[in-house]
Amino acid sequence: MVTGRRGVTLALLAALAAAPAILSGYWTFVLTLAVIYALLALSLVVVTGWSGQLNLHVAALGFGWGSYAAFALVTYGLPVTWALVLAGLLTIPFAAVVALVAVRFRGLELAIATLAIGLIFERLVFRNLGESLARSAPGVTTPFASSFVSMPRPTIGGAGFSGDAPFFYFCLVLAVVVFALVWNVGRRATGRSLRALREREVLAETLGIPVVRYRIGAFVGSIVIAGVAGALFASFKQGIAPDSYNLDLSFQILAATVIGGIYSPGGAVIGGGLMALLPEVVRSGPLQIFGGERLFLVFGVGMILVLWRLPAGIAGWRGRRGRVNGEDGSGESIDEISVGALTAIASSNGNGAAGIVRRLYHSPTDRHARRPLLRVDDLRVRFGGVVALDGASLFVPEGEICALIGPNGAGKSTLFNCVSGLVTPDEGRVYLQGGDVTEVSAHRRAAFGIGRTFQTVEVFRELTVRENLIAAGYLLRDDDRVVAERADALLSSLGLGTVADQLPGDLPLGSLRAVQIGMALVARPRLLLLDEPSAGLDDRQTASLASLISQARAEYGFGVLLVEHDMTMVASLAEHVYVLDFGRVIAEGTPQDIRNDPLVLEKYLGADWADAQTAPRRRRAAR
Amino acid sequence: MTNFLQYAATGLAGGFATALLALGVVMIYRSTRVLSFVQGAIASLATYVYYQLGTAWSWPAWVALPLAIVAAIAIGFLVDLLAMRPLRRADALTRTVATLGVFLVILAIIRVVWHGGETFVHPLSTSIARIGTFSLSVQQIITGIVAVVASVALVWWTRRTYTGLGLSAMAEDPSAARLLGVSPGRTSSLTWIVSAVLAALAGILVTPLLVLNPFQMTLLMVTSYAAALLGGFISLPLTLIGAVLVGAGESLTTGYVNVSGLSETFGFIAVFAILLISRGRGGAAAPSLGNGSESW
Repeated sequence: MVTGRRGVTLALLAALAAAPAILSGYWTFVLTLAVIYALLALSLVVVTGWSGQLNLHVAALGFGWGSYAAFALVTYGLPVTWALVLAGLLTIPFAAVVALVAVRFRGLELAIATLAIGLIFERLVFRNLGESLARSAPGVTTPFASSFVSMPRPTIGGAGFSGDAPFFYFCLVLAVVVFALVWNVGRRATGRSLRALREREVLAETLGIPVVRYRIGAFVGSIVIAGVAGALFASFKQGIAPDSYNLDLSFQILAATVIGGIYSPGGAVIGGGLMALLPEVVRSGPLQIFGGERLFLVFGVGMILVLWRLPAGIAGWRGRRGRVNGEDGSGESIDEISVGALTAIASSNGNGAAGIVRRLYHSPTDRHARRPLLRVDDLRVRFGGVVALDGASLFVPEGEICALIGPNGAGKSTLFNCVSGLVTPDEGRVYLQGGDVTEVSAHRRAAFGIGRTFQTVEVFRELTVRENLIAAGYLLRDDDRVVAERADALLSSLGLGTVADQLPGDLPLGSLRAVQIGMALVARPRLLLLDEPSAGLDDRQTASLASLISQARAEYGFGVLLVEHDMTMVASLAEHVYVLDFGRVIAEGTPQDIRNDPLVLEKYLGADWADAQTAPRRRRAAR
Repeated sequence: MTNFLQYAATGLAGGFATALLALGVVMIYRSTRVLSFVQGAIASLATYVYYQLGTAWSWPAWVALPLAIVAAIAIGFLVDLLAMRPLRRADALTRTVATLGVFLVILAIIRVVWHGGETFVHPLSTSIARIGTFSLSVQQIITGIVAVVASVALVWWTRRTYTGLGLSAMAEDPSAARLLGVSPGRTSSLTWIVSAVLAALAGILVTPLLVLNPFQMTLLMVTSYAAALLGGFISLPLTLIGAVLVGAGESLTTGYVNVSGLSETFGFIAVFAILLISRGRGGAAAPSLGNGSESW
């Protein structure tokens, strides 16, 4: 596969290098345009395909800036060659400003924002800029419009790049450099993290990925790439007409990139090729009816078909098909293999692991004398008129499994979110190993050693189980092989070895919970937050999961804060229990103490258990 | 002062046309979570049909207008059938991108059939209504009346009728609505048809005041996002009010500020400003966790 891709790349490069010698000048001209459009498509791959941000008006936001930046550099006396190379960098300040605005928006809001800002540039800034430049630049003729300014081709020494073939090589070399850089970034941790945050932004954040920085970085990077393309385009056209950077072009290149494959640089090459070559190919021959303006039809229909049947585009046709449609998710059928693995581990350790550890540590009186891992002081959180937390405090020493129970709406999840950094409390502090982390963002808390799972299964659906764990290894900052080894070790200790290469959609819920715990453990957290790990599992699966957790704790020595409804699991796993009600801790103690506490019985366990016992009888009686 | 009122009143007509587009955008977003980039193109296509019948072939308006509406119904139905239905399992962003594909297709049709040239469309009425020094064209008045009637009808429909309530239920919680027996397919197709008719009305009413070219209505559609944002992509009355305010603002800016291209871009600036203010409060909000949107 890899050699195949390398072979295709080399063959394509060789063909392109030989092209000017074989083809006529006109086709060299067309191929130059293809190279420029491939760069423009690459910018969409980076911003939309990788980081999931839709830039709807790339022609104005990036491409156009690059053209005017190159013009400015030439006007200030830089040789054209250097102006074209450096124009991309000159767009960085503009890109940074727009990226800082764009990072505030997501999804459809971002699409509208880029559309609006882009149109402001296209219709207001570029036109006025073009007109004033055309008036002030001396010796420039304006054959097409009052806002046209000319832009020369680059020259080096006497030979010059001004001819079609030399200029083609100039563009090709620049494009190959940019593609190589992007491809290199894409296959490293940076690329993995970008794809992770595209799919599950909050999960990525809790795995320690600095989401905001990455999104800004991807946006700026993509605009710089589009800027390089724009500079080359200005030189290619030997001038800048503001009307070239219109919405038409933006939508077309987006469609071409989606058709080519918006998730990979290879797709950008195909997209750029389609964009430049298709009009030429269909201009003659039997496809003639699709020529000219009618080409929109091909792009439009092609794009819808690709979105429907081939989300990864032509470049990804050999990959997993139809994933965006979610048709291969088999839901919650029980996978006997992995349940078997879980049960095997559970029985080999019996409930012994949990039992032994509990006896070792079980001594509530000196709990507070041990080294603190997590301390939560007097947290208060309001959502509008609802008081979610009303002065909740708790303490978890290092290495302890501590449970948090309480009725629905007691504030358990809010407290969890305060600890992991997804919610900032109105009042109160959160200390991790004695340090105040109340104001620290979620991804930095992850770096301080907090790992968490979610009540609903949050995994990267397009990655296999093993890739999920590798993607969760952002914080390790080791090279790929170390992360992979760590992932494999965790997979086998969690009993997931047999399903490592499956997609999460094919796994039963019990295994998915194990995957989540594995992802949270990759970065070696000191505190593991588990949000209702047993929700939706049957008794057998719950027991297996409990034994997995206690076994992993014995192996890696992290502390656990567990939110749980299943009292059996709490009793078998936890060394200390806090009971939360109306945002306040109403009781704490060993699981035994809690079961016997009259207040807890009345508030929570009693009511629930009594209901559970009597409800069926009552229902029968009512009939 | 008279100038001020005159500018504001002129802007209102544009605002009401924007409102018709915005109402369609909001209806589609509410019931399918798709941001339509194609309302403007649909409006253009229906208006080209109207132009062909009413202006090029000089058929009377009472024949041309209903036929153009029928064309709009067909367009809305086909967009849903050919682009949205196949993608019903895809996420909203994918379907939103797909509307760009539809946009390219419709633009191609316009360019092939009408060669994409700029033309003028005959208005429904050329008379001018005068009150003192203050004058309004009857076309502008008709546009306002149609927009207000359309909004009232839509509000009534979505709150008081069974199908309309199904649409609202779909907006609140798609899975719950489906469990209650609301068909997502029918909802989607109905929404697209209604929105296409609204877009067609906008195009037919406003282009006589502007020019007809393939892109004009798409620019107006981007402006209409400002109104949709003001209504949080949910509220129909707020969307109407927002559109009228944006229209009046645009006209006043044109009247009093002399910067080339500013009047054309006023709507986009408004969109951007409203986005900055309303961030996260609209329907297109930040990602959430555990909201049951996942298939598992």
